[in-house]
Amino acid sequence: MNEKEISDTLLFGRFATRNKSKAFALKEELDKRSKEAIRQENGKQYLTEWRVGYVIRDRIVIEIDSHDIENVRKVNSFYSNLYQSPFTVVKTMHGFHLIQKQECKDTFEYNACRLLYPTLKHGEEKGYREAIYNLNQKLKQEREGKEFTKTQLQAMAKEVPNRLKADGLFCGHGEFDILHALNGIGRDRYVLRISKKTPEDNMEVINI
Amino acid sequence: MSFEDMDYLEIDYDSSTFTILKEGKFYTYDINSEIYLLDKILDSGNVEYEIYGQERQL
Repeated sequence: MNEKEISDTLLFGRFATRNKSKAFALKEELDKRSKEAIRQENGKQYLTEWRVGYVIRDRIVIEIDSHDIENVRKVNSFYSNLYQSPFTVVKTMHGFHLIQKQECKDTFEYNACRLLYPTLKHGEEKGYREAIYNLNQKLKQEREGKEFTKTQLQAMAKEVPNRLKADGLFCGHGEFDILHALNGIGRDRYVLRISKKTPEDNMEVINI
Repeated sequence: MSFEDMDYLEIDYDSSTFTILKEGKFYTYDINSEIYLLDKILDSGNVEYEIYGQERQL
């Protein structure tokens, strides 16, 4: 691992590699440096923790941020029917990952959009992406010329799902991580964390 | 020499560590910080990893 890779990751906030050992070694080094560079804002302290994630480009991944089993059943059942493809359900420390069992490389874009808007017709995905892009531009314009603290910007990011609903761009089923789904559309991939936050942070496949 | 070029040595599941050789030195890492489950689920030979930062209040 060289200094440029470390400084690039610090600058862009992300780094990609096919080498798992390298990914974890870089995470270890960045975590060390983060502890020496704790950010202060309004008397509060903030630490950046680095994660290693698995990049998935060929199937749909749904993230759920609670252990509400009824909700997982609802989401799993609805989207398995919609995609005509079952999901592997993985229980995590704070919620669930639903990982599509069958690849959908050729229809990834369409299916990623249908996660947020299930009634979308095939061929309408370009228009839907454009509408999301336009909303994003609108949000950017609203912020233009104003200065915000990092904390304020983070709070604004959490408001994006509400704006999506208000603009009629969401009619998904059940409760799931809308920002994760949006990232999937915007980046043509999902990133699933595989590094542990704590030693007890285990994952297990469950039957629901 | 970058980590791409390092010599991969071994994974020791008994002690939950993996050891690499880089620039003539041995480095041992804990693999308990890593979850292998997704490898098994996705069974993909073309794997890519992303490192990203998440900020939290102390």
